[in-house]
Amino acid sequence: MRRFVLLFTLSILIIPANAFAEVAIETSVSRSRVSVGEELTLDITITNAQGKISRPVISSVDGFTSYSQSHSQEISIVNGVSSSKSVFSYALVANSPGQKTIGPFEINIDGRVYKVAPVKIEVVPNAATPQLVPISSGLPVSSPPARALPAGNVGDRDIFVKAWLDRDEVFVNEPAMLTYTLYTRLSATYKGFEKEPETTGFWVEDFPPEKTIRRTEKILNGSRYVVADVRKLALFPTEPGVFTVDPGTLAAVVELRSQDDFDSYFSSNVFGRRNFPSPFASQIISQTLSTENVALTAKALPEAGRPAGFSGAVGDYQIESSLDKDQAQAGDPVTFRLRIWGQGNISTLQMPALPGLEDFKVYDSATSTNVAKNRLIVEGEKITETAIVPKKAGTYTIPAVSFYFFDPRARVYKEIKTAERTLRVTAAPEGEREASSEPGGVRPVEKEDVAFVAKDIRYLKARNEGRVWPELFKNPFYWGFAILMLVLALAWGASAGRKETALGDRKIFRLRRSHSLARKKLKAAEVFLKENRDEAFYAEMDSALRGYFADRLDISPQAVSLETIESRVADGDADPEMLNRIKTILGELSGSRFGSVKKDKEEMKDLCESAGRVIDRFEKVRLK
Amino acid sequence: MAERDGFAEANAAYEKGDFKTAADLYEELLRTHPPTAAARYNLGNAYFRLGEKGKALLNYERALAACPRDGDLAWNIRVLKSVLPDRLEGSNASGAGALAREALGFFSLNETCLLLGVFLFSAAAAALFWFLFPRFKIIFKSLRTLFLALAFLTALVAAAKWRDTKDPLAVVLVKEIDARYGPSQKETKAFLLHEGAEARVLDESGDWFYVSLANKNAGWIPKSSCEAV
Repeated sequence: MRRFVLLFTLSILIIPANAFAEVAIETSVSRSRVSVGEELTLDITITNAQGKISRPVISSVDGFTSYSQSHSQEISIVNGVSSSKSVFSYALVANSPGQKTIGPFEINIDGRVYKVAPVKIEVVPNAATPQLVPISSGLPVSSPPARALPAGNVGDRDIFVKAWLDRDEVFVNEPAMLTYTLYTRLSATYKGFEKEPETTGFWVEDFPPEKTIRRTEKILNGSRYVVADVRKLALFPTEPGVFTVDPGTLAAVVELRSQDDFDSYFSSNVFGRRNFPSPFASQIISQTLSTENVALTAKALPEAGRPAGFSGAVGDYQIESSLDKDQAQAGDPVTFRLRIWGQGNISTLQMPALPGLEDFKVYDSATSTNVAKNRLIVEGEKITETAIVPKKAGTYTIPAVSFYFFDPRARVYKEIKTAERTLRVTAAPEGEREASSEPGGVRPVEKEDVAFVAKDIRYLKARNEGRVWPELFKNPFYWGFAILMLVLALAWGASAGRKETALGDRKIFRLRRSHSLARKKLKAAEVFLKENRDEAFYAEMDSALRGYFADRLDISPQAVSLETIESRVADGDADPEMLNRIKTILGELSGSRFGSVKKDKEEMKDLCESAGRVIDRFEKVRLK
Repeated sequence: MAERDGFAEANAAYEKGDFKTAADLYEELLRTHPPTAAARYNLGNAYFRLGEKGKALLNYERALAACPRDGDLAWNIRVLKSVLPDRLEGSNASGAGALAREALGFFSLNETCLLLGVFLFSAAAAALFWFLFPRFKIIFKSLRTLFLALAFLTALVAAAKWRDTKDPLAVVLVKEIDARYGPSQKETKAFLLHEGAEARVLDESGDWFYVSLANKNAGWIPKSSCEAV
């Protein structure tokens, strides 16, 4: 801090007398040629002036109205060289055509008067740009007196805003214009909305600010106000009812100036066009502006006379259709264009459906919307383009398309329709045709779902068929037959089962008795041996042995042979010695019974014992 | 011959758009000759064209009992039911329940009974062959078991379908009829049925039917307001 103070002091002391250059005064205008109603800026720039600069005195500004003025001042010290610049700026609006002269000017700088040459401006008439022309409403225009207000004390009557509707009652989807009008007798800058209006229940179209801000002057209660419409909204009610709109709040910046500031001629107001006044000359205060709610009644559209195809459009419209070509080849796309234009809520307008075009393949439509608000009404156009492809040659008429809307002025529903369009379709060239004409093969076609056009019952039966037979379940013979069949199925099944069981039992019985029966017969043979009844002995022996093998193998005694026995013995149990022994015994028995071989008692006894051992041994053999 | 002529005559009247005459001729034909599904189907069409949806549905349902797999009949019933005001589907109108009902509806009760007889006869024949030729026991015993099993399943289906006879379907023939909580006009109204509504007849008392809807609601309606399929 000490260092800063030292430097500042030194810089003041060091400033030499020749550090200031000579005073220079320049005048400049933003445009040398303007139309009536257009604005231009006049800047008077004074550089390197020492001492007090009084405001410029302008001797003549005929043909212009001033809307704003400001004074800015700048002092810079670079490398010890000080320079200063003061700029007086005036915003002027031309209000009559002709060659105009602003000035000459006189500027008093520290007691010395400088004269500055006038500026020439050419003002040409132009009726196309009336929006910036101040409208005096027939009152004489005179500048309001400059006011001096204590800092921070801006009254409700100094600046206020009004929100108002151009009508209190509209039909559903008919626009009501909500306008915000700012009244001020101070130099003020509109800064936009702090809180947006609440527009539930409305479709809102906001007009662009450059089209809405209109400035006029009005005398209210003896005070002159500059009045400007700062915002306009078109509100389209979406349903009937009484609506209250909260308009929100606006922000503005207010400039309070010293009383000895500029002369009375340039004492009007600022609307955001100019730079802020220099803090050397004025004080800036931010101001929030609110207004009362507005009410709007939305009436339902009348039921009487409402057409079936009405889709809610309200306003004033026209319709047209077109084809991009009136002649095409089969298979070539053609664009069908449907355009509706006029005043109303274009954004929500529903385009009418395309008429049924059975001989065309119809693709999805593309819709574009163009809303214009230049004339402070909502208008515009909506265009639907649909690609249609004719399937075959011929002359086709695309039927008229109807559109219905409600005209709120006439209070009637209106129908508008397009003209019919004719399209001549020629056959596709030979090479582009489908498959059938080409001998070399077929070309698959794109499959489509078969869609029902309508539902109805199917047609009559041509032949009197489907005799209704007597109901079987009511017929006792049927049930008798069914029960009999069931009983037979069960009974025969049971019998077959029992038979099977019996057969199985006999086999087991033979197996079980085989050994004991054979042993009994062998004992009987021994008895015959003791009684010397040789023939009976051999017969009993043969019966015992063959009977045993027959029971074991569940075969007849006559079928018993060594081969049969060998074939039934399990593989692991086929003892060659046992089989050899069986063979020997069976051979000896045959030889002794039917041959001439005679055996003594001992040999016969050995044969009997050998046969007993063989059947004992065979009991342990497993069979296949 | 007369039957064929009467049928052709009725068809000709229908084709000319004289649905009333056509309906009368079909009715006469069904009264005087053994009924056919085709005559009932055509009669249903004639009533449909006359706007008598209840009678149309009644005749379609009667034809369906004889020809359960007729596609035209099924289609016409669907179209007709789509224009009836009462929503009568039960809770199992879709899913497994609907599938089971459709399967049951594939055969008529007569066809099911016939099938049951054929299976029982086949089972008995297989048992006989098993008894006579025990050597082919595996084949015949298996066949007998298979046919008995099929007969059992068919008997179950027949039992389920028998319900249609035990609790016959009735079709409302008047424009509107109030179903009441009891068989009297003094009883409280339970619900309102419109022409073409179908309900099962569970019981009767005097001039009243006790009917149950597919959604399990039940009430009494006069016999004169409906006719059983």
